[in-house]
Amino acid sequence: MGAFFEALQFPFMYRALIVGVLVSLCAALLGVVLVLKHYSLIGHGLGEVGFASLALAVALDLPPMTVAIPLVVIASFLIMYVSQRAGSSGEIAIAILSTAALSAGVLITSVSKGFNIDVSGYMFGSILAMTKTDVYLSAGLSALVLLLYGLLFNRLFAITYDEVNARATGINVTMYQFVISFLTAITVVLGMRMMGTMLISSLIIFPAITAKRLAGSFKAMTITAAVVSVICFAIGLCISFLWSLPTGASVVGVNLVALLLSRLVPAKN
Amino acid sequence: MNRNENGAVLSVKDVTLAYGGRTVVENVSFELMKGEILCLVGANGSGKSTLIKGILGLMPAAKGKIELHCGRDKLAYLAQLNTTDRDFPATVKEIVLSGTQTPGWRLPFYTRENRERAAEAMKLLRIEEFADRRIGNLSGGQQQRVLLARAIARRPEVLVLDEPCSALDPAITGELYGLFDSLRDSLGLSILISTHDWDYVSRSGDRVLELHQEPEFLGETGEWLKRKGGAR
Repeated sequence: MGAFFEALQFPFMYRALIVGVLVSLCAALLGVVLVLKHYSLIGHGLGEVGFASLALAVALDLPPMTVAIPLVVIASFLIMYVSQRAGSSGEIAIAILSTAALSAGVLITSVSKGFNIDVSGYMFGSILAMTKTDVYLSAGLSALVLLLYGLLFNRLFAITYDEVNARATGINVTMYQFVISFLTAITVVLGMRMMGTMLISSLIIFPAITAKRLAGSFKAMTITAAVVSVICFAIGLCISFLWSLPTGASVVGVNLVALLLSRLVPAKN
Repeated sequence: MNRNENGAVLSVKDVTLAYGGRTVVENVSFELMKGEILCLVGANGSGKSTLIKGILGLMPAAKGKIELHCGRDKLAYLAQLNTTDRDFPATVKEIVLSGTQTPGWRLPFYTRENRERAAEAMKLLRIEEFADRRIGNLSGGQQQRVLLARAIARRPEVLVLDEPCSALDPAITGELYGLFDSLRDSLGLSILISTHDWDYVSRSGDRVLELHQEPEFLGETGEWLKRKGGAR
């Protein structure tokens, strides 16, 4: 453990810790709504779109974020729009979009520079990927997510628990759903270079499912998901550094252990 | 003034509603009067739920006009019990409090008035003892009382009920019907209820609107029962 704390003196490590903790926090909060609304596949779909957009950025030699942010945000709106219209077949729409995006990413990569280190890093994440800009962006995003989540908390509960009743009582459900989509897209873009485009959705899904088991109320689930997510990320990063393992996979592993442990706890009354 | 000059809190004028390209409700007109119980009856597929969706603003009318004279924040809704999300982590208190939310931009937290309204509604529906329990761990009847408390916490003038007792056993159904009647009497609510229960219609309904008749029947409950010849 001492080695881990010593390593935090290196800029790449403390950047990874700051970005990871902030992105984990945002992903967990958004994950509560997405999991309860059965939209958890959105994160996975956006990860695949993120991969395609990063492959495109590498092929065109453009800064990754300038390509990824608009494309993933557009994809998130598209997924939400299709899910709304298609009802239960929304999952199929997400599956089609995600596999299409993955294929597009592979095709772009193979006709441009091939699977070089950049693309591989994007797919599976890298602890070295975080820059100062990422730290600032993550701080800005977290502030935005926390502020909006706090301001809209009661609304989000009403919409998540009973969308039809919320609509019937005049609440603009669609607007709130698109706000959640937008924030999810930005969270996915910021987190995918550390966690990997293949694994970023785990930050959205796992803590929420663990918290759902442990919490007796929506508020408790939200707080539990945030705490579980941040702790699992910190442990995963530590393991990743100490044993030279990929960061994304290490964090997912810790989240999986937390989820399995939560199954040992009796369900809340 | 929350009603029109006739004393109606809701006016439906020549409304046509279509679903998936098929006209389900055609040229329906009625008014819901202050303090009345209007029963919406008709066979399955006759368009009762579609008409309710139109009234709630969940689907646009292809033709005609739906006017809510009391404002949307004075409308509350209770659907049939949906038990598919029994493991949703929400307490009774959280759910009832959510009923106090109104459209538009509001304070991000519940005010003292919101909490008082929720507490009153829980007291009225006798669910105070469950306040901190997870909704999924309550029986079907208790869950429906919680959702009714959420509706009442809005302090509504119009209560729209879409087959609220289907999937519930007769004892709980009787209890809920009694609650609807007492809410009408004590709070002066106007109730539009979609139901297949003729006993309830004959006992409590002031008027009946029967869909998919040619033409649709709209009149006093006694007249409707006479037309039906008392047949079940």
